[in-house]
Amino acid sequence: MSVSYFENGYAYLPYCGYAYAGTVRTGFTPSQASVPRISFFPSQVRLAQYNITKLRVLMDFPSRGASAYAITLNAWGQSYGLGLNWSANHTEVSSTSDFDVKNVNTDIVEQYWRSPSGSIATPSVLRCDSEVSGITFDTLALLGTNFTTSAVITVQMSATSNFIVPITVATLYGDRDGNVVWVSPTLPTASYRYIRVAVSDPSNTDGFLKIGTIVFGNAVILSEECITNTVTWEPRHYVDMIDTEGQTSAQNDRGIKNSVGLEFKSINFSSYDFTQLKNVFSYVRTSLKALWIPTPNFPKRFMVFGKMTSMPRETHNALSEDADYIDYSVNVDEAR
Amino acid sequence: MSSGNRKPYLNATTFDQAFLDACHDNLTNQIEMVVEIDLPDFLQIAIPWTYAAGVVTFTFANHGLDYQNRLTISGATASGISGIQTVSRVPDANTFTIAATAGASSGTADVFCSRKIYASDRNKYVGDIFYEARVRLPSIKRTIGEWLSPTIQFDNVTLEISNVDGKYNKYLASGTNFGSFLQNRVVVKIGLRDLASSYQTIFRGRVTDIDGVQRTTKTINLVCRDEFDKINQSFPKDTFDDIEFPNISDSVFGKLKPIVYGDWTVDLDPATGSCIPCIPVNGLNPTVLGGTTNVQMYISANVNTFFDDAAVVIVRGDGPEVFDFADIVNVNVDNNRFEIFQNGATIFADGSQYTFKDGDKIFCRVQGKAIAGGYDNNIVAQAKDILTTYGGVVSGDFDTSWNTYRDKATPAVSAISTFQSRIYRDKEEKAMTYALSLLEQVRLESFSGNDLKLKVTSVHPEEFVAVPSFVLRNWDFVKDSFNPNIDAQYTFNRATGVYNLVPTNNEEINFTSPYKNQAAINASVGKVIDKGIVFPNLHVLATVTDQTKEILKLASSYFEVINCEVTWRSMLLELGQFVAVNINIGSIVFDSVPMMVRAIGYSASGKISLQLWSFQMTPFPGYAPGYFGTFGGDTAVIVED
Repeated sequence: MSVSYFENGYAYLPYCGYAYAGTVRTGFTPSQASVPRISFFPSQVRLAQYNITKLRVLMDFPSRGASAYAITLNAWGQSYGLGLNWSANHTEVSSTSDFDVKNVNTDIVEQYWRSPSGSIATPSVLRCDSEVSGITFDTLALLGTNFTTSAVITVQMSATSNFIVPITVATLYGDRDGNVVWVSPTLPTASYRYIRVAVSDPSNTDGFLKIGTIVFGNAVILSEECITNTVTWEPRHYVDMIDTEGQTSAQNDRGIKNSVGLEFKSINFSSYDFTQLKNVFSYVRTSLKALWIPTPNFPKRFMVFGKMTSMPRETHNALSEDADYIDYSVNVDEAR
Repeated sequence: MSSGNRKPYLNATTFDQAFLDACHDNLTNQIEMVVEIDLPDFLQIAIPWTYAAGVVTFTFANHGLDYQNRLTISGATASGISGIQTVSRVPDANTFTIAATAGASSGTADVFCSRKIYASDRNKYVGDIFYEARVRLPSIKRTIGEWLSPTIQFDNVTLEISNVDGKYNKYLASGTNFGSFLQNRVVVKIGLRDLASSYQTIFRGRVTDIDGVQRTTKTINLVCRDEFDKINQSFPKDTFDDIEFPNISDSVFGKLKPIVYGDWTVDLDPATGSCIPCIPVNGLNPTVLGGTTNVQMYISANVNTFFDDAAVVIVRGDGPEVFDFADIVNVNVDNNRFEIFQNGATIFADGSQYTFKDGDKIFCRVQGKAIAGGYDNNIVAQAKDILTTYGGVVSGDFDTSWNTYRDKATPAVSAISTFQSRIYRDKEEKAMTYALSLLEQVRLESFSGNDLKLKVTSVHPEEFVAVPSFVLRNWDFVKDSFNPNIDAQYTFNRATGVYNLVPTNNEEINFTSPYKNQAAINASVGKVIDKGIVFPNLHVLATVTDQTKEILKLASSYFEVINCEVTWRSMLLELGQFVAVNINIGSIVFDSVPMMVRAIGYSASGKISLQLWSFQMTPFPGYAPGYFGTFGGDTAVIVED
């Protein structure tokens, strides 16, 4: 196939004038073809370069609702654009309202929504009004949870806030590290306004459920270029060290945070992926957290929700105007 | 893991010394610090509201409230609104809503919201409260203060709060909720991870009026002073004025009204016989100056328990002369005012009768303010009463140790309940400073305890702990932090007690014999280090002699003061507590030496700073160091010089 041009990750073929109508996985990876409604000749085929093998970065979160304030009220009676687009069927009472469901919308993973004590078997249902007419998402993460491996998490979408006709997107399970990540195996095409996450975890010994941050959306996905196979994973132990006169030291523990180092080799300056990466760097800079998933087919191994420690420094091997190959490295740290 | 729990801090629900010891066995813990800063309260009366479909909408311009702020609503003009409510929506800067079913479509209600900044140096929960990583936490120190110096040192704390994102701009100048922060309360707590019950308040203060709020482009810096600093109010405060006393003379106008405690009928100034000044308050009345009207005399602002009308004296010329009691009239029921009849029964040595002259020095004898329980002369009770009456301290601020020492009856040298103390104060003094000076005279000290109550501890050897249960070893001390030194101000080998301050000339009029520790002098190659120890409020020689000798015993032991840092295992130590130090670090060797904690400081890193008094060379009951060259302490030979 001769690709004419790319737009938002879709490959357009020459002489096509119609939008795609469905998805068809192609016979080779990593591309996925979205085909085709054929109404008359000439026909159109729109290709989506979707894969679950290359680095993806989720930096834009429709899970947080509309980006601009509007007096219009969302399904939970709040104005658009305030980040108050989640509701929960129950929440632990706090003297300062500090367990509110709005906490899942912050980059502070340590600040969490909490279910009432004892409510672990009755599903906790967190509903999101995306405050736009419909969204798709290919990546979802529940961070800073206390779920056990027995926790069952159901992710559903719906066109209505009461989920009369729910569409199940995924059924997931808890993990000991507190993070649940889902990467859509295929390019999602159905779009809905409302998303809900239902969790039950009857064997949770805490006696309650908590979720620090929920993010979902369409990730920036590399399609051709990618990181090298060498990924640096560095858990960092933050501790106050107190050296004593006893030839030993006492510690005051502050916790462990992870960071990941990614190497990019000979990225083609002319490639779409390079442009995508530049956009990512330009957007998140060193000040915004993003969900970095170097290996989406086993997403949790190197996944980090963090900030870049510095803007990547490019080393160009500029052979000619059209043959410029770039090396750089990216470090992302949860603790920044 | 099938072995013992090596990280007890992760799931402990009890925070005590046993827990800290268990953590120290594995050399790891999770001590954290948080801070709470009051913001200006929102309190508005009769805010109008409207109701529709389960939503009550309040209208108030620039309310500054946030989603989920908790409100206390009262006085609503319809049912269903009053009580604890939560802001359910903030449509704009001038309206906010709650979810409730009101019994009318509109009305008014009073709305109160108490708001705080909850911050820490990390993002964390304590109990059900989230503390955001926004503050650089300082080291916070509590101390007993300097021995033999009536000063209490309350810590100043500077909090550096990140405002790089402008989150708190609304509370700053030009913000919608500007409240200046000045005098806002600040509380700093330290404890274990998110375990609310483990958090103890280590600082409770207020943002200072002067330079209390500073700003940079990134931070708001709050300078806070300990709340007990409020105790240090000046007293007495009431002054003589011409509204209460229209005929007051210029020499009295504006002076402070004195306060009197204790027995001023004994141990008096022989030069005057009586000691309590009597202040004429109608000296400008022409008929008083003409000798036809009584002179009105003022003694004290407080009520006195006794006034001796047979011992009113006037000092003219060579010495005092006593008024005939028949001329002492109209003594009021409070025993703090009376009148002198002119040209009456009093005949002075020169044959003259008494007529008033401006500048007359007249003195009387009284017994001062009554203190409940019969503690009128008790020095501890007097200190407490001053703090309560003039310092604004309430009974709940005092620890029970105040009563313990007030009633102490043995041994004789420390039997405070038998000591006689008295106070005459007509000059401004800080209440706390004065109370400390009272306590110091009987070897007591006051400080703010772990529970932030005012406590009293003693420097009475019989209360020292020879074998403290808390032992500090090498691995408790932060490397290179152990610094013993001999403090010159605590070291002397000869002393004289100076006592019995009288208001007639505002000086102590009595002295004890000088006492010395000859062995200590010899150890100083014959150098006599002399000190006069002042006991202004004690007036009985035997008491002062005992206190002088006891202080000399301790000071002549040349004890060391140690400044050091230790691990978080020591964070529950209390000021005045005894610890045993058992370390061997190069030239520093302490073999289970009892030491007293004099100051303690806390940091978010888990380091605890301590100041300790070492009793290595200071014997006391139950503790006999046995080292060569021990010449001070309880076994010291103190002789009259």
